[in-house]
Amino acid sequence: MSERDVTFYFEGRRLAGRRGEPIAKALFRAGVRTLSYSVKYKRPRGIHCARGRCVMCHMSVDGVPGVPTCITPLEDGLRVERENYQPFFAPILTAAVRLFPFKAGFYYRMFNRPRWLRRFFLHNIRKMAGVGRIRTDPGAHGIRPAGGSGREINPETERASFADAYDIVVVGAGLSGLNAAHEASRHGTQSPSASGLRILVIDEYGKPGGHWRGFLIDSEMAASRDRIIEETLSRNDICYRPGTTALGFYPPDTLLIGSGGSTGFEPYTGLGTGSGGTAVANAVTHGVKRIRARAFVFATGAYDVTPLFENNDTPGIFGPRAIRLLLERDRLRPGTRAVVYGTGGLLEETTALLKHHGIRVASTVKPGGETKRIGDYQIQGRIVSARGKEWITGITVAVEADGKGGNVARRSIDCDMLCIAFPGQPAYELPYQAGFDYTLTDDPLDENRTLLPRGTAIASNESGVCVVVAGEAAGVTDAEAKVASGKEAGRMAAEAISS
Amino acid sequence: MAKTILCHCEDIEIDELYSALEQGYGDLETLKRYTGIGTGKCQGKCCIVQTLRLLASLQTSHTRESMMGDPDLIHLPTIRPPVLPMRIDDIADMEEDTP
Repeated sequence: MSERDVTFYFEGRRLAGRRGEPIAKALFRAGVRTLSYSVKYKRPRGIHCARGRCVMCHMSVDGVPGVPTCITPLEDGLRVERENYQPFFAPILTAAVRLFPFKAGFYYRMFNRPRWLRRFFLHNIRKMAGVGRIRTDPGAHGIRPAGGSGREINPETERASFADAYDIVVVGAGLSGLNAAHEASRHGTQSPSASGLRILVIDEYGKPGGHWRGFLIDSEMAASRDRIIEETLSRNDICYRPGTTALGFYPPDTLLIGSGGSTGFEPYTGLGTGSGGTAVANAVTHGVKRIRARAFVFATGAYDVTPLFENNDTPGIFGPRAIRLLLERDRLRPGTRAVVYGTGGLLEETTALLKHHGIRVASTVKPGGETKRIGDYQIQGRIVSARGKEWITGITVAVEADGKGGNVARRSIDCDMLCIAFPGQPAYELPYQAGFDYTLTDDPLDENRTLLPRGTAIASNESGVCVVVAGEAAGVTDAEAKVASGKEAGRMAAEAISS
Repeated sequence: MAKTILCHCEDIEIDELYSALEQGYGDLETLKRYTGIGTGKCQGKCCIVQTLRLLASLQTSHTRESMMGDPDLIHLPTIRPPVLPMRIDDIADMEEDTP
């Protein structure tokens, strides 16, 4: 028995796991794949985004509700429970609720009368929705769901490690964020007036590189990735803080940041050799701080989006970022036979990634429009439904025989995981708060159109602060374009503050 | 039972969006209030763009043209900080702002 072997409790059952691995991974290995039930229809939900952004893995840990178990490290003796899940009458309740006709706005119309019963209805509806109970005993205050397995976290020192103000703050250390910081730093040292800038690069992950893709099918890409990480983070004027999440932008010049605290994960191995801790994305902060800057570059990336088809919330469906995090950060293979659904380079990269990790790709599904075939296993069409109760067991594709939507035939494919490879939703929150207006791309025939900011820079807002958006947050999906977008953003930020 | 889920946090299926549209709620800011799209724990990290795509495609399809005529209806709802869930004691412990 190694030092890392620990035991924990899942709804009273004693299970074995390894210290520091994500709780969700330990549960998965122990055969627990349903981590929560959805609020209304009580549909089973499993690990999905793997980065603490969706709610599907939220569980109660040691009595603290809403803990994202996909990014919270396991400790000895933890008590993990599904939230407000009462095993005794849950099956009856679930069946009843699934038949209930929830129409839009039902809560404005139903259960309000008779008035004397309203409190009773409200109480029970809230209980059934089930998002856990908050502990109110004195011991609860000290519980930090995502801390403790590695270094001790002191919010005071976490805060103190940041200055109050910087010249440029880059949010996101992915492909475009790194290029932006590099370019800004280069400009800062070149201009005669400036003696170097104070640049802060923050990233939610413990390793730089973000969700950098493409290196599996392109060795040149891999080399350039390692080079830019090395070159950027070794510069004297760049301060890189991993495990730090931007929580909000307050115009004109203030950014709220939170230090992530989860340690003990194995480093995000696929992602470069740069310095930094091993903290991963953490929705639970350990000390927050306001920082100011004269320029901001938002290279915040994008979120995975699952397309709309029947049962698109079945556990076992993962986005392109999630599958990389699971395979490379967590070393967790969520299935053995995959279907990849997507377009373009992302489809090829995701397929290559799965094969690299020994997962059989049963088929790739690509919506019509192009007739090029990658291999015999590729189907042109779109997924219309997924099946499987607790976990995905297969999908149904509407096959487009002529690539133009005509001659639709249904084809069923068995699989135990479905990987989505469409562009995600730009993480527009911070740029939007800083004043960027986002709109959908124009092409009405493109059903995966993304949000785009109108313009990529606000040269100076009312206080002379320059705000730039770069990379996937600006709707850029191609790797080379991301580099260019990052460089351009860095240059604009550096020029804005030197003038 | 087969459902197409638009918003995972609040468990809103696509039929609920259509039903809200038929009841006359046409822009995302109102739909958000009426159906609950984007008001869950993740604050719309994947459903906002899906809803906008749907609204845009309905706008271009002729059948619903009368209902969804105004391109200005396709805009993002307000997103307030913090953009991620954070602990209330972190806010309470935050140092005072010195202007």
